[in-house]
Amino acid sequence: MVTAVLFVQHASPSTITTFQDQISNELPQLLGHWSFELQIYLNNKYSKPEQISTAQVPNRYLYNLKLSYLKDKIHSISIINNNKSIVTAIPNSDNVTNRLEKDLIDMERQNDSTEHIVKAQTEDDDFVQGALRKKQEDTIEEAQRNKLLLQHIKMGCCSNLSAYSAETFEALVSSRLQSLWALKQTIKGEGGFGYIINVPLKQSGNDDDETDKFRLRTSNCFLHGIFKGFLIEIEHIDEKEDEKERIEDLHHKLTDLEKKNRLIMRFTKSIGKIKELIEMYHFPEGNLCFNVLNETKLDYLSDLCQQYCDALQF
Amino acid sequence: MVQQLLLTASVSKAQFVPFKIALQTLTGMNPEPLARHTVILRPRFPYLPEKTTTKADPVETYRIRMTRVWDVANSGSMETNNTADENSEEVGKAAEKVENTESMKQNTTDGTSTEAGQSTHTLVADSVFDQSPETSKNNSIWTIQLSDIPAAGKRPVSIQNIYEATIYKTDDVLGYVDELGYMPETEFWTRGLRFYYNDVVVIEVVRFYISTRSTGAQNGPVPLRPVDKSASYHVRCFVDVANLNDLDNVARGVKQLEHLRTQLAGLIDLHVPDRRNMDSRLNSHIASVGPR
Repeated sequence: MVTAVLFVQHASPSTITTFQDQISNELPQLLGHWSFELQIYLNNKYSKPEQISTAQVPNRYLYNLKLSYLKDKIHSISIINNNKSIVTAIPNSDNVTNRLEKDLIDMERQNDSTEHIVKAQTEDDDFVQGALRKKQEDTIEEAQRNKLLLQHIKMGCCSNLSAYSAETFEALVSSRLQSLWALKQTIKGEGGFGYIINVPLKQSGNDDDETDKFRLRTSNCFLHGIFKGFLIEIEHIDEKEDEKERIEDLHHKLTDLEKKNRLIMRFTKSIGKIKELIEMYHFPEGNLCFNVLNETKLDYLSDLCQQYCDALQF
Repeated sequence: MVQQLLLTASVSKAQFVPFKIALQTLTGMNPEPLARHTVILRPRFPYLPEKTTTKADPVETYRIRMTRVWDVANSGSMETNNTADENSEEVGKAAEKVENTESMKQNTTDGTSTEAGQSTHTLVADSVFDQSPETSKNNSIWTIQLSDIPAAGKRPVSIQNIYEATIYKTDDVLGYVDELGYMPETEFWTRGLRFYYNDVVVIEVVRFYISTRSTGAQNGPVPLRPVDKSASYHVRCFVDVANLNDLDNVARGVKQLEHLRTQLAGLIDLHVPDRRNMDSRLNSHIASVGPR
C-alpha cells in the first residue's frame, strides 16, 4: 500500500465542492466520515547536556497522529524528528478478546461448510488461520500481532485493560514528560469523507477494461479553530501486487537486494499512478507529500504519519 | 491514567508451598504462569531550568518502565557446570512446575520434561542491551509505564497513578526511546504465578532476576540470577481502576484488598509498601531522606 497526502492550502468552498462532485461522478464506494488529529510537540530546551547552552540545543519535534478510521485498538502513530516511529495501542482486553473470538467463530463456521481448507504451517495458530481465510489486506500480520498482544495482556505487562479506559500516549507525554516535550500545535481534521474509486488511467498502457483502485480521504484542516486548508489522502491499492509479494515471501524466493528493488519498483509505480490520477482528474493544486520514513522498508502507518507531518506545516 | 491499589508481602522459600495451596483454595483456580522482562529507562540529559526566585519549578523528571513478555520457553535455559549456585536450582521452581504440568498434559508419553530441581539449569534471557541484529526486542510489544509517587497519608492500601502506553508496533524501539529523550538504565526479569481473587484482585507471586553480566554492549542471551539470595518470593495484590473519578470501584477495590488481607492474615502479612521506595522521580527529595 503506497500512500500520498495532498494538502491544498488555498482551498475555497468551490474547490472543495467541485472536487467532491468530480469524485461522486466516478460512482465511488463510500467509506463514511472520518477525522484526524495531529499534535506537534517541541523539545524542552532545558533538558540538555550540562556544558551546552539552551541556545545550542536544536529544535526537535514529536508528532502524534490519531486517525479515526484505524482499527479500534490502534490508537495513535508517533514520530520523533522525522526519524523513529511507534504505533501505540490501547490494549483494551475486551476489544482484543472480542476480535479473537470473532476470528475463531469465523473459522469454525468455515470448518462446518467447507472441508478443503489448507492447513497453515503452524498448528497452534488458530487465530492466524482464521485471519488467513478471511483474506483481508494485512490481516495475517495483524492477527499475529494480536496474538502477541493477547499474550502481553495475559502476562500482566500492562494495566490499562478496562473497557472504559481513556489512557493515551499523549496524556503521558503532556502531563509527565514536560521536562522533555511541550505541546505547540494541534491540527484537527473535521468533516472528512472517504471513498474508494476504480478508474481507468490512460497513460499506463493498460487494457481498456483494466482499472486502478484508489482510496481517497478528504478533510478540512483546522489549526486552533481556524481553517487552514483542504487535505486529500490518496492511497493506491494494488491487490495483484500484494498477492504476488505474499506468494514470493511465502516461498522465500527473493534475496534482500531483490526485495529492495521490488520495493523501489513498486513505490515508483504507485506514486506514478497517484500523480497520473491527480493530473487526469484535475485535483486542486497543492503540496503533494509522498516521503517515507525508512527507504528500505515501506511501513503503511509510519509513512502515512510522516506524510501528514510534512503536509501540515504551518 | 490507571489508579493502582496495592498491598504487598514477602513469602519465604519454606512458606511458599503452603501459601500457594492456600491461594489455590482461596481463588479456586490453578495459577497462570507469568514471565516478564522489564527495562528501566532514565532521561538521557539532566533537566536544568533557569533558577527563578519564584516558587520551585513544578516540573519533575521521571524514570520510565518498559515491559514485555519474557519468552522463557524460547530463550530457554542453559546447561551449566556443577558450579551453578544453590539458588539457581530453585529458580522459578514453582513456575516451572506449572509449565511442566501443562506440558505433561500435552505429551504424556514424552518423558523429556525433567524434574525441576534435579538438573542444574540457569535461566537465560534476551537482554535489551543485546546489539546483535537478531535481537527480539523490536518484534515485541512493549508497554511503557510512568508512575507517580503513591498518595501520601495513612491509607488502608497504597494508591498510585500509572500512566502508560502500549507500543503495538515499531521498527526500532530503543531508537524511539532515544529520540524521546530516554536511555535504558537497567533491566530485570520477573517470573512467577498469577491468581485472580473474586474477579477483582490480581495476585502475583514472583521472583526477580537480574543479569549476571555487567550491562553494556553484549550479544546473545544473558544468564540470570535471582536478586534475592534468600530465594523468597514477592507478593503483589493489586486492583487497577481505569477512571480517576470512579470512586465506586476504588472503594470496592479497597474493600476487596482488605478482605484478602484478613483472609491471608497469619500466613502472610499484606501491608502497604513504603511510598518512598516507589518514587520514580529523579532527584527526589523524599527518597533520599528519612529512615529506609
